[in-house]
Amino acid sequence: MPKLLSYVTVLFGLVFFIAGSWLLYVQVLQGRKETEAEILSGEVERFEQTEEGTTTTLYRSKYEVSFTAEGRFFRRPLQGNFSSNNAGDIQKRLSRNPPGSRRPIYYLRARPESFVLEGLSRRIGTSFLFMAIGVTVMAVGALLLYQAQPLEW
Amino acid sequence: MNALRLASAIVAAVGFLTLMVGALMLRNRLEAIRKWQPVEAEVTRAWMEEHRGGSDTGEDSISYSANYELAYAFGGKPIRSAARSNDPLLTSSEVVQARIARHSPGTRGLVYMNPDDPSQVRLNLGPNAVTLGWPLWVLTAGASLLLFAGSFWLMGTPGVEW
Repeated sequence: MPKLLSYVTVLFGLVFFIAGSWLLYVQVLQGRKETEAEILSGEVERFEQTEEGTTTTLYRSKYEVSFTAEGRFFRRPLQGNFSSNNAGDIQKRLSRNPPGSRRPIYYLRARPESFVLEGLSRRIGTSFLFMAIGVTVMAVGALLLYQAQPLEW
Repeated sequence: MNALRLASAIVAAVGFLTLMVGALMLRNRLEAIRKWQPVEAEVTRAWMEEHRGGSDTGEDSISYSANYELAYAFGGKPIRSAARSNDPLLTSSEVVQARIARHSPGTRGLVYMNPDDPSQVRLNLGPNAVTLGWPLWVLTAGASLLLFAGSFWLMGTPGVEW
């Protein structure tokens, strides 16, 4: 039984490790390219979120941006990556990203319309976290397996 | 420094300390393994011992250990000594009986003797699961904490606030 538990643990860790490696492959090897997007307009968007029967009014920023990727011109709506129940917080963010300013975005070469705001190090952090969980769980499984070995005496 | 990066710095510090403690424990264990000398001993008596202990539920818990009386020589002088398996106490008497059957009186096996006091003898002292168990767990914990800290540090990279 302890041996079976060890094998299951190693397998569980392997799943996390493979998931992390796949994420890393998508983020790094598949390679998002960086380009600059120009902010055309920005406004505060109000929305409601219901959790456990309680509805809360929240605010987030909403922009319209344009950028050129792989020789094509794109004009896309973009939601901010932060929400708050205080519209003032969002207004501050909007004032830091006024129309006409340029900010980096990261797009997929095959599908330039798919872009994200987070830089590479932020995105690979999640991949590494999955890989770290996988390595840890696999190490625990290996130790369990090692300790399940019968002793001489 | 943002909250995630602060957390990762704390986790890294704890991980580094844990790794150092694990390395120290491993060094001590390996030194002990090197110090105690392997000698071939003859089993003169082998018996199972029952251990009773109370549990939280008020019920008696029973565990078993394998005990041996051994005869060996050091510096031409014959020595008799008793030793108990340093395996954590087992709850299955069958497992212990099987182990004792492997080392019935008259059989010979490798044990480890303290050169400073040849009457002290240990079983299973080689680099095995029991002797290296705890240091390896602590080392694994330390290394994992460092990996997590690295991931959190990357995730805490300041980005553009949209």
